[in-house]
Amino acid sequence: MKELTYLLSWLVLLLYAVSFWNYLRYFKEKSEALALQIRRWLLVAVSTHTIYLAMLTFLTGHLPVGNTFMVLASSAWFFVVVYLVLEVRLHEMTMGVFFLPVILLLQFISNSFIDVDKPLNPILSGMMFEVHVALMISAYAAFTISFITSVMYILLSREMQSKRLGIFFERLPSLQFFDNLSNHAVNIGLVIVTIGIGMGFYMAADVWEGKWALDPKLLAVVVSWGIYLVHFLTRKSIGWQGKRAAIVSVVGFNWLLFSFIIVTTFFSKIHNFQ
Amino acid sequence: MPIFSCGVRMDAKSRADCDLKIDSHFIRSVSDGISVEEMLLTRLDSCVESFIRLSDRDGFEATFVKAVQKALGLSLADVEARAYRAEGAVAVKRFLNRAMGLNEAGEVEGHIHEFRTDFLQARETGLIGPYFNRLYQRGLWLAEKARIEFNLQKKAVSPELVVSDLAQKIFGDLKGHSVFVAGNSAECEPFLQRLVARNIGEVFFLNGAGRKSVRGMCDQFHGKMVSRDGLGQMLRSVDLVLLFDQEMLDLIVEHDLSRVMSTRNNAPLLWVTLLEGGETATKQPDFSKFYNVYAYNRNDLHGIVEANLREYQKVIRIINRLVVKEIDDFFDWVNSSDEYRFGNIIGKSDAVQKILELIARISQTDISVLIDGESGTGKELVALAIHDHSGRSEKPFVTVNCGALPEGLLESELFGHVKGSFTGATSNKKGLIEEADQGTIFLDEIGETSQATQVKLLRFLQEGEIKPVGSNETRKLDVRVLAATNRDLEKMVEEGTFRQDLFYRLNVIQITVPPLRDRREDILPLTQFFVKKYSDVTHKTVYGLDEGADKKLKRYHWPGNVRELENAIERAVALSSGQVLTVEDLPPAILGAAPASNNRHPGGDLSLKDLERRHIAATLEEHDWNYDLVTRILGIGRTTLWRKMKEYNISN
Repeated sequence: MKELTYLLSWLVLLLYAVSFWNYLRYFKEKSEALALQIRRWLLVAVSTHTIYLAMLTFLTGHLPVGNTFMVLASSAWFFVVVYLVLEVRLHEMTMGVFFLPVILLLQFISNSFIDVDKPLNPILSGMMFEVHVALMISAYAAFTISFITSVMYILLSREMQSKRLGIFFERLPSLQFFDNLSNHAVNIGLVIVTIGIGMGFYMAADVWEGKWALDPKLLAVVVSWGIYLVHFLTRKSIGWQGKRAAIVSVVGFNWLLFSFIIVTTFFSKIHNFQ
Repeated sequence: MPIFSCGVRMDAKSRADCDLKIDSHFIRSVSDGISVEEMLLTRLDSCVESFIRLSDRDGFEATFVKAVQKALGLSLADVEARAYRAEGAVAVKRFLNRAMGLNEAGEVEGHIHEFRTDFLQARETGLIGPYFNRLYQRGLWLAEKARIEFNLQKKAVSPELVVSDLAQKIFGDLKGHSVFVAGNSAECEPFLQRLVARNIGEVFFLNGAGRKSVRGMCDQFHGKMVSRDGLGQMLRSVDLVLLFDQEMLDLIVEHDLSRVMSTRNNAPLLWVTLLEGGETATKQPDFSKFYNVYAYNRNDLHGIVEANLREYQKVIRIINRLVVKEIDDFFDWVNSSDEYRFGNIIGKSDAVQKILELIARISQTDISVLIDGESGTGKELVALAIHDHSGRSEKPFVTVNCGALPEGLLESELFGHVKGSFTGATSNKKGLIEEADQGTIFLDEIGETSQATQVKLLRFLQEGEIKPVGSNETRKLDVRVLAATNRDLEKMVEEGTFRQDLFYRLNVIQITVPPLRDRREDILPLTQFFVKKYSDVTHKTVYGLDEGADKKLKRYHWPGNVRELENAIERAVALSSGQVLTVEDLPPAILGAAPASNNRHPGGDLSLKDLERRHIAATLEEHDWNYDLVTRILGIGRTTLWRKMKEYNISN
């Protein structure tokens, strides 16, 4: 059963890789005929992913949010769901080629380090904790969307300023489209993450009794919250639109990844799900 | 019979060249004195061109050049020097290129529309026959293929198009965005036209002393005049600047651009400089310090256009290969003497030509088509032709006759069923729609389907999903839907027996196949085709019909349409003992029938004059020679009536 779960986790990765390859082909070949097939593959991938998460839940006896790498697997799943909804709503399939590498990275790290035998810290169960994790994952999903649209904005903008119009100009929608989407995503993410962090602090004060204030992970989270607040405020006050906002978003996302994986795993003493 | 082409390059700058119009006068002057089989004259920016099919080319070239010379008012030597000619395959290639919107050199010019207008005019004038019809249809088909498969015509090939593409890439929808035209140049007109065509919001002009033409331009584009004092204010709100004038540039630079940018909250700005004296002349604002400014000058635009044209060259090489194949096919067809045969469809009437043209234009898209017409007119052949000309031609073509199956069965035939969903469903069965995945499904007799099936069909058309009978899961499919009916669906919609929403979904394009009696000119080619077909089948050597049989066929009103004709010929060939079919070989139904009479086409094979004479005489007879009444009925004056009576020798 355990082996099967691990096997499944790599199958999920493989399916996402196939999806990525599909999106890449679509991006290059501009063939609308591929569109239907692509979504079918991504649906297969996300369904397999669902089964994988269900098996994890079954094996460990709790939702797969008990440690860093399980959270990564759950986050990747949720990001794909959010992405699919966006893709269908916006009728824009060129985003996939930028989005799926993020998923591949998350899933790869998760697969490499996941360990279903690790016992669960008893303080990490309960409604409050699960809501906290769910909120954080939702916020991160929004920031991921903002990240990929910002990357696309920067690529398109650079191509246009270089005055040599190439594949991005041909394939991508307008700068305005990315700007709007990215800003909306940051706004939504910021609201959710504020609530999530607030809840976290409330719980931390309860559980860790004062020794949590200088934990690197908590600091890292506050910093990333600060970055997105900067994104919001500079946009509203001094008109950091477009490219600058995009750069802030890219920085923010990189910090998120760093803080989530590196800091949680190697530096944080308490907020590492142990 | 050979095809020639002859053209005269036009000098776009000369005023006289612009006046040449392809009108009936010009057409007459070209065809004057030569016996033309088919002729097409077309006028594009760079040349005026003729295509002609006739046996003797010498006379034609001379008259064409002369007509052009006369129309342009230039010296004969001058026109001669600019004339070029081609024949055979080269002329055919030129024709196909024109139909695809490519110019002489095979570059994209995008004048498909103009060519179409000229072609339709020639057809109205009766100058187009089977050869040109076929070439035109093939050209349209190739153009669609190039557009869909190779993305041709998507890339901007002129600076004006580049600018509007850039604007659209930055702002998305241009509706809420405004443009400032700084300068007083006729050059700004094409740029503005493109932008207005894409729904740009407001257009601003700067009001200066004595700039009358600016005001004219302003009125033309419903723009707003801004005074010099308002310049700074305007720069803060505008999204696109088109700069044509050094003086204007200086004026703008006076306003501190970095302050302008920060007060406009760094919203993106597209800045296009198109100075007349080149770009290096004087100080240009340094745009690199504004991160949201997209600045282009004339050279940049030309660089982009050239890069796009290079892309085109690649595509055009591929298309040229297609054209070469098309030319081979064309000459094969010419030599096969099946003049009126296009794939499986036979006919020389305008109605059939129009259907073929429509097929060429729509086959490569995925839109649904509703084919209507009486039974036996060949609706399935039209559907098959659409499939064969589409990108799905290698994939399945599935025909379902909705009228032939009882209600419940039709549903499970179409959508499939799972094991145990009803008595007798002993295994899972794929539906016909699923069989047609990636291909085309043809729903014949769509009017016979029940409401329940209609709902399911509608769902399939809207979502592209089907749900097999008894199954809970849906399947996504990629199927093109063609439907046919011989009933009046619109009336059925009114009566409530056919769902309106389904009707609109199916009826995106409607092709009406007229009954055979409305296109009698097709009877002969069809007959010849069937005679050949059945003489091959029966191993007989029958060449055709004698005059009497021919007349009988043309007179008959063909309630069973082409199918009835086919059966009649099959029977006749089987019975015939000679090399020619005679009246005796034809079925009694055709022989016994009174001369065809129907309201839509009362004339049969009469000339217009004969028809007029008979109509006047009949009307007079009917109304007891009451002239007042008859003139009112006929809508002509009393004197005209008398003149015509005299002319036609009608008297009481």
